[in-house]
Amino acid sequence: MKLLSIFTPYIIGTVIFFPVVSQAQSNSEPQQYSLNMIAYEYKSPNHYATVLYMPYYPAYGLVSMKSSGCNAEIAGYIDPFALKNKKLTITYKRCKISFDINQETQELSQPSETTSCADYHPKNCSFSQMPTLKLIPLKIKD
Amino acid sequence: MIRNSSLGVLFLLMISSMPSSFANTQHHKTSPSKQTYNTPKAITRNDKPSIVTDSQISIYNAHKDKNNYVIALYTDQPGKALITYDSPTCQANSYGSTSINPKNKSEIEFTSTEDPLCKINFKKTNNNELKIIKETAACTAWHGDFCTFSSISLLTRIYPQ
Repeated sequence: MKLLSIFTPYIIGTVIFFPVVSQAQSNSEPQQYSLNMIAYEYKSPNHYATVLYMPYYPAYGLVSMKSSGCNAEIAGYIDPFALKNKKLTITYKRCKISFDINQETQELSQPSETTSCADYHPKNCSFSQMPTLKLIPLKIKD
Repeated sequence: MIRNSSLGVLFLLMISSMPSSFANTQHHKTSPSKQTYNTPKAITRNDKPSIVTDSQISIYNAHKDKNNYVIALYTDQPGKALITYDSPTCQANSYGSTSINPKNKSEIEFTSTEDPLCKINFKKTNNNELKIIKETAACTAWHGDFCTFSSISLLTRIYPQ
C-alpha cells in the first residue's frame, strides 16, 4: 500500500503526459507510412522470377518463377525467427523454400527447397535453381 | 475362265494395294502435320521471352489516415496473391489465389487459402487502379470488425509504374 501511494503521482503523471507528447509528434512531423510488403524480382529474356513477402507478423510470402519450360509458384507462411537471421523462409504445407537476404547488395540469393516442393513444380526445374533476385524499390503514392 | 480369273487377280491386287496406299497417305500426313504443329509451338516459345521480360506481378497500395493497404497479384493471369492491411486497430494479412472472370477480364476474384469461403472481388478500373467491389461475409472473421475494405476501396498501382 505504501508503494502504491508513492507511485500513484508518477502513474497519473505518465498517463496525462504521454498523450500530449504523441499529439505533438503527429502535429509537427509528417506521417510516415510503412509498406508491409517487400518485393524482389529477376528479369531476363527467357526467365522471370519474383519473391514477395510481408515483414510484419502474421506474415505471408509468395515465390514465382516463369520460363518457357517451367511455370511454378507457391505462397505460404514466413518464418519470423529465420527472418531475424536474414533468412527468408516461405512454408506451404511440407514444402519449405529458403533464401539468404543480403541487405547490402539488396539481393535475395542461395535458394533452397525441401523435397516436398517437387509437388509444386515440373520435374525439369526447381525453386533452388532460381537466380539471384534484386529488391524492387516500392514508393507509396499520396 | 482365264479372263475371269485374270480379272479376279486384278481385283485382288487392287484390294491388297489399297490399304497400303491408305497407310502411306496417313503416314505422310502425320509426319508433315507433326511438323506443322511443332513449328507454331516453337514460334510461340520464341515469342514468349518478350512477355517474360515484362513484370508479371502488380503491386497496388492505398492508405487513408493511418490505415495502409497493399495487394500484390497478377492482374492479367490467374495466380497467387498477397493481401496486407495495417491500421492501429487491425492487422489483417492473407494469401491466396486469384482467378479472372472470363466474361469480363478486368474483374479479378481472390480466394483466401486459409479460408476458401473468404473471397474478395476486384475490378481493374484502368491500368493504375484497382477497386474492391465486394467481399464475402467470411472475410469478416479473418479481418475483424475494425477494418472494412470498403473504407479504402480504390488502390493505386505502385509497381510497375
